[in-house]
Amino acid sequence: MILRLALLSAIKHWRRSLVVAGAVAVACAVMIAIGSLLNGITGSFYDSVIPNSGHVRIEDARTADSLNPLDLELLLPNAAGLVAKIEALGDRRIVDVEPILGFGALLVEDRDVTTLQGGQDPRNLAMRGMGVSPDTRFADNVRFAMKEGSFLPGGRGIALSERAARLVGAKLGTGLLVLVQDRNGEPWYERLVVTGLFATESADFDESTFYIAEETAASMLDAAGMAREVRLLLADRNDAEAVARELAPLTGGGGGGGTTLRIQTWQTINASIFAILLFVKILLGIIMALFAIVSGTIIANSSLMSVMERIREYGTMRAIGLRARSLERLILLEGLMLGALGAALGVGIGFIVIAYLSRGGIDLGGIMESLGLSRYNRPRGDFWWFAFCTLASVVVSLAATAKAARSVGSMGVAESLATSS
Amino acid sequence: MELLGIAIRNIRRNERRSRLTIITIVIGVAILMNMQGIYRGLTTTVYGHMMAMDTAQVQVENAAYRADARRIPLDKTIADPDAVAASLRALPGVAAVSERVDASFEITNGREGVRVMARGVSQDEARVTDLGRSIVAGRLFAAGEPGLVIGKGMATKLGLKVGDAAWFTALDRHSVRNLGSAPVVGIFEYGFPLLDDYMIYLDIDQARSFLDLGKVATRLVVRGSEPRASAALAKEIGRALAARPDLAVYEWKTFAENLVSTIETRLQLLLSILAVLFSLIIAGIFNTMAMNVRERYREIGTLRAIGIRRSGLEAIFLLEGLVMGVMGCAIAAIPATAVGLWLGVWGIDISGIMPRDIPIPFGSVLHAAYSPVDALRAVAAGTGAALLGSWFPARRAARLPITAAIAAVR
Amino acid sequence: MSDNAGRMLLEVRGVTKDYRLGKTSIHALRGIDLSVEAGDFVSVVGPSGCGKTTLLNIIGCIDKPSSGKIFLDGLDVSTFDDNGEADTRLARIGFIFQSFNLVGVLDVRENIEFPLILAKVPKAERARRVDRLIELVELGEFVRHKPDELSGGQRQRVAIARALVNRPSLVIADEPTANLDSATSTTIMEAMKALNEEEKVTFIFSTHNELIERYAKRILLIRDGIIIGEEFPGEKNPGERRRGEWSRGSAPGGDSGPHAGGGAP
Repeated sequence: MILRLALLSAIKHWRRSLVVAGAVAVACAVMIAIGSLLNGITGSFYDSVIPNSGHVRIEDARTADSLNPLDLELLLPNAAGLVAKIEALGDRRIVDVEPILGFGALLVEDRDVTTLQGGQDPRNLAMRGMGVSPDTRFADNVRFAMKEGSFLPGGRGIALSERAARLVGAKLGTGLLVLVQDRNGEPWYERLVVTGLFATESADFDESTFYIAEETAASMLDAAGMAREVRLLLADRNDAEAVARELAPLTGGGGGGGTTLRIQTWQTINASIFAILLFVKILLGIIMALFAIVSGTIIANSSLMSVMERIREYGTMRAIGLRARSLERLILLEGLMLGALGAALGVGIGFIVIAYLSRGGIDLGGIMESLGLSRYNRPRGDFWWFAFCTLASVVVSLAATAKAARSVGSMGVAESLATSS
Repeated sequence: MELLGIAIRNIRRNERRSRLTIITIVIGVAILMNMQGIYRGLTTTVYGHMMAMDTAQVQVENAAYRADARRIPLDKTIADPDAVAASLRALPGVAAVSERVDASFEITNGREGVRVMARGVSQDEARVTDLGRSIVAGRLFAAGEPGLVIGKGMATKLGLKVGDAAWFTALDRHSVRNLGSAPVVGIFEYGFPLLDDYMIYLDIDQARSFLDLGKVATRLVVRGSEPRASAALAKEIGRALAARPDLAVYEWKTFAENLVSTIETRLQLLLSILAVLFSLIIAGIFNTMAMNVRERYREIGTLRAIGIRRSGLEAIFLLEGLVMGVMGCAIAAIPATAVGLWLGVWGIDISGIMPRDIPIPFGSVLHAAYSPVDALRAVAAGTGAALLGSWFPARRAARLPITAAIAAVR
Repeated sequence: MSDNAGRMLLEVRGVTKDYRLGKTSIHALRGIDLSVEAGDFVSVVGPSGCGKTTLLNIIGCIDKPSSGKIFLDGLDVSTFDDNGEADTRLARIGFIFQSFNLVGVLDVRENIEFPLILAKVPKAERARRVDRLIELVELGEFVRHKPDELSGGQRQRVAIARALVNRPSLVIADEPTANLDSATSTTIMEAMKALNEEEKVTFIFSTHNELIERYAKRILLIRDGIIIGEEFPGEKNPGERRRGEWSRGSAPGGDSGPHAGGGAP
């Protein structure tokens, strides 16, 4: 009956109920949309950036301050030994350990001498080569974005993006010259056949990175058994710090050659992304708080009005024998119902907004690509976030109603009966 | 004037309700006031830096260059840069034109090397960008002089000082690797790591001969006399070069697409959020005013009975909304001015917050740039919202039949 | 509803009530002593602002006296806290208001049933009692109507049913006919009188309408916060009338209300 009474009152004053529910809905939908946007960014970060960059990374300690991160001086001299040692640990938290041999190279169009006409010089493109195992687990963004061919079948060949291929006039199956300077400073080149063409979401990445087999890279660079870094993939990324700590003794002499190694976790590797994410989070948090305040104010106002308008009715109920606390509960119940209705509406609107936005994705601008993120952000709904927003909306609505409820509850019965609102 | 007094007294009659309503206006207006300033500060700083350091306002390239820009092609050049530059200098809005040859170099101090962007520039470069003013040690090379101007970050990391010799290699037009050396004559510092670490300048003729290029240029860089009118300038230059289909004209934004798109999408996002916020505020005012009207049916009837016109009644309620809007704006001015002073005069030192490798030239301190128009716009939005929210309730009050209004038992 | 007529139901001892209105203090009641037996039908009469409503509110436990005591069924209700008062109202008192005060969103049946729900009466019992009362106030065909679909008289009959549904010891009616025309007023008073006589419901009602006050077995005359006289219209002996110095004819605002006066009962 009390429930029915609250429901009927809400329906009778439908216009104001609509305002309250609407205010809740808008705030809830905005919170959901903003949260999902953020979730989309962090989600794509966790799903693509981290697994690709590894959860733990071991590299030369000087790398961070080096002007040229592809300097061959910074290679780990005994990466193969280090990998073997880590594998020997048999740590079940570690899913994969791989040496990655990154290097600077120049891709040069492979033209038959007979087709070289006057003034037409072969095109070239400076890129970053990644020497990886053909069945690497650290190039998901590429391996699952193959447009033609396959990644590195049989361990030979070169995989590069369609964009890069166009710039150097290469196609699937054509040759491509890869020019490097080896560790001794000697120029060296190898003719490799394009075995795979990919297109990731990041134009920056596509135009800057190609993949070849690690063995090929090592032989070209005269760097057998060496790697720029050793990457670890963990079953649970939260183990990164612990694993990093436990690996520390291994790297003491493990790198060999007197180089100091540094073990990084995904948190330190992506520190700048975290800094930006934090910045964005704070900004969005402020916006959400403002929405909560504005809609809270509107709800408080509306419920105060609707309560004051019905003060006589409440006085009557109290005269009949309704206790003050029960009356407060009745008013709160109405607020709760409107809050819940608004939250449900908000969740609905939020769903639609997310569905709409994630079709094409929101263009967050090219800077995202420079950070290794996709520039098109697809908001992601998250059950817990939805639940949180729903709860927060209801709580805001309740809190905003509480004032009105208390003011009526504490009013004298005779006084409220005499009020001619 | 009497109506205004009535309106103010009515607002005070329901003080709590009015206060809550005004709070929403205050929030909306304060945000709007500051956001414009912050946004303008951000864009003028960032865009200004970008133009002053790198892009100037308008650039002319070989029409085929842009598609292949990533490989910094030496085969898609402007064949007659001097002639084109001369024709551009003759245009009224053009302040200075510089020729550039861009190439990818590898520079080394003998121990370690790094791939950099090399920019062969004419003496005019100092007139289109801030290069001349940003040299912190040494000087800019003279015309035809072999010498390098390198960034401070690169100088530090490679351990190069003014007077030291630097070695560099690059592939020339025929993909033949050439080796050269030149003394470092100057060191610049823009405060933008991307340039300070990875950009070198040399004389354009030195670059041409090193890369085996003739009298060509990769691009012509134009600074206009009107710093904010780059779009108009680009259009004018485009018209002037209409007879040259082999050339393409671009506004500076093309070269900072990442930057511009990032800032502009953020703006759109914020604008849509603001729009939602203001519709909430309008709904709140509507609610309050509708309540005010309903509560005062009897009073409305009495006022009408003693002879006030419909328009007068409407004015009372609109005035009530307006007064709340104005009060909201006035109160909002306090926090907005405080934040504004802080951001505008002292600014936020963002060098500690922003990671160094973020490719946006924020500079080290972010200043908001306020203009009186911001405040006007925010006040207009606040009072506009208040009026809009009061509109329907006011009309409703005015259209109420007198007898019904008087008889209302409320 | 009390069946032991003659038992002392209500005793009011030295009740005063002061209000502060701005800077001035208003003495609404200045020492009221009053006893009401079960089964009585009492009318409180006096001009506007004489303290009628205040007295009824205090008796009805919706207002507290500034001093004095009220015993209802032998319990000193003036010492009760808020919840105690609410429970007392629920169990022992029924209210009938001048402007009916029905809950707008509930229909006739639900309005009557409301106090029973508050009192946690089982559903079957509720239905039985509500049905009986609907019959009693002759609203059988209107059970599903909302208050705003009823006439004033019908609304007040709903209010009467609601006041009686919890079988209160005492029903308080503050100007129950002031918002009704005279014909309807008569019906309402007849209904109340019938309930008093047949069901032995104790009523205290206030009015400033001379025709209405005649329905009472006992009339209390109040002016300026004190009882200045008492009449027993049922008794033939006019010597029992104790009018004091107050002359009916000069009562300020006594019968100037829009619905006061009018046709004969």
